Amino acid sequence: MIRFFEVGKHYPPAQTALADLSFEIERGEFVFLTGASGAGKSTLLKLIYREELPSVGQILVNGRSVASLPERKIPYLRRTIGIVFQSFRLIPRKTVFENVGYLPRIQGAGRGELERTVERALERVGLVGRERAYPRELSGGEQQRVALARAVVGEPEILLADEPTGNLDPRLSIEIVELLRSVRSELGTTIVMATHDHAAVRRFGGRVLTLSRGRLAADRSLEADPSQGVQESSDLAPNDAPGLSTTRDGASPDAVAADTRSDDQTGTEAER
Amino acid sequence: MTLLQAIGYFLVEAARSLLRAWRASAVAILTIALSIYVGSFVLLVTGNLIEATSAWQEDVRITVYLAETASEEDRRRVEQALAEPGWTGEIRRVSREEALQRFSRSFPRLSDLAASEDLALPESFEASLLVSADQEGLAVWRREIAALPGVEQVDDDREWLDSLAQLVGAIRSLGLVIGFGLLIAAAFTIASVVKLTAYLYLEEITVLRLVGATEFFIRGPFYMAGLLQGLAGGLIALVVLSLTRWSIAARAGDAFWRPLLVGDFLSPAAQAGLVLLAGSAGFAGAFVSLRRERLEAPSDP
Repeated sequence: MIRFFEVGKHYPPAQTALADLSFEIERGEFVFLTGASGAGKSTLLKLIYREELPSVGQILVNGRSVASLPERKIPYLRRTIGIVFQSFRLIPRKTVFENVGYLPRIQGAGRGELERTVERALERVGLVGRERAYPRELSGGEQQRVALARAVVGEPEILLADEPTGNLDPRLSIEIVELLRSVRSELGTTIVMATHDHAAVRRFGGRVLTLSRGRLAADRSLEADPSQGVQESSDLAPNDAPGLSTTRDGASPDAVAADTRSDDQTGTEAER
Repeated sequence: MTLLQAIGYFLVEAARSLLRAWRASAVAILTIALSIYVGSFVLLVTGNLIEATSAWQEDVRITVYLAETASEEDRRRVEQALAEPGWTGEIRRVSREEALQRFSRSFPRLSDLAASEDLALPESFEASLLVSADQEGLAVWRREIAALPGVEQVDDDREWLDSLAQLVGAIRSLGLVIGFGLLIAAAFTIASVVKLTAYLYLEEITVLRLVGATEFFIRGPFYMAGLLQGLAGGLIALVVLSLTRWSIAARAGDAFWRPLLVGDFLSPAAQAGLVLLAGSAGFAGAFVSLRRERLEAPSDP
């Protein structure tokens, strides 16, 4: 579904946001993307939805090279990718219905189809009945649900979530991750969630890609620990999570941990 | 999305954006209305003037005044010279008495003067000139008549009508140049307003891009807003011009310039042309203003 081959992203004059990234994410996988601030998580996601172009390497999404996609075809790639941000990015003067209905509208849905599609998306995130509300009338958790509904309204093949729980308390964070997991199980959507939410990653487990200084420091699977998830968020070091079962790239957990904890100056400056 | 759906969407979003920045939009609309008003006012006045000049040119006359000493032979030669080239219609001889009667009719307040022995109006020949008369030949012919014995003076209406036509042409050109200049200024105003409005929508544009909207879909509402501002300005200009005409008709009485405004209004084709011109200026302003803008919001923190 998503393949990175020796991908690098550099910004002039000499900042490296990502370097030598190679990994593969299968269809229907749920992958956590972790790393310190500035490690390159957002840049990696931007490369997938072609907000940024790689400086080197090859990225394939659904078998197609994203970098060589002509400008005019980018919108069609993005219609297959749902995106959720930490800041929600809802339009304040639009209702919930209008915020969620952007994609069906640009695809030319008639009134009836638009209503049905939006209703279905709102049902998925548990916001039926709030169609006419404005974002300012909603709580942070509800706003993120609206953003999630907007991301899944087109039943995308891929859902990218960039720190979706960053503005939420631990309880709401767990709700959002549970929603993402339900989207995955209902629609078979491949989900990549960049997060600092240590507790959420431990609670749900699964595949975790860890970035450090723009490099893939670890690619491993965590066992789920349902007892986790009530503490405040913190950076997740690659080897401090219980249940570490494997490292796909064979990196030494100690080395990875040291790398992640270090103050990643280069990456912090480079990440945009 | 079909083109019709897209146009419907553009209209709704353009109307919303115009309302959202209504003060700036109103300034842009009024600027374009002013330019179209100036242009259409000039077209209206000069159009009626040209119409009047044409009517007068169809009724143009040559008048040959005879000297007191003119003999019957001289009169015959003049009459023959007037008829010869075939450029004249009816040739009429106006006696001194008839000239005096006309003077009395035209200037009743000067009837005393007309009755006195001191006013001696000359005898004359009047001939209507045919529209097909050759201009250069006419000038030569006129000089030949003036040189005939017994001829005192030759007057030709064409001279001042030609001068008038040239003056009207110059006024029209100047007015249209001013109107066009104002239209360009209005297009720039619309360009600024559209750019300003687009920047108010950066957040929404970012979302539209993220969900997969094409640039056509993203920029369409702004181009439509420019077009609507132009069309609205054009329509307002025509309404105000019509009100001006109505107001002048009510107050001008029998003023000599009344027909210039109260005569024919602009033809439907000219009205449609002016409104379309205004719309095109608005669209062009919007297009130029956004052509090189990437319209990107700052990245997520």
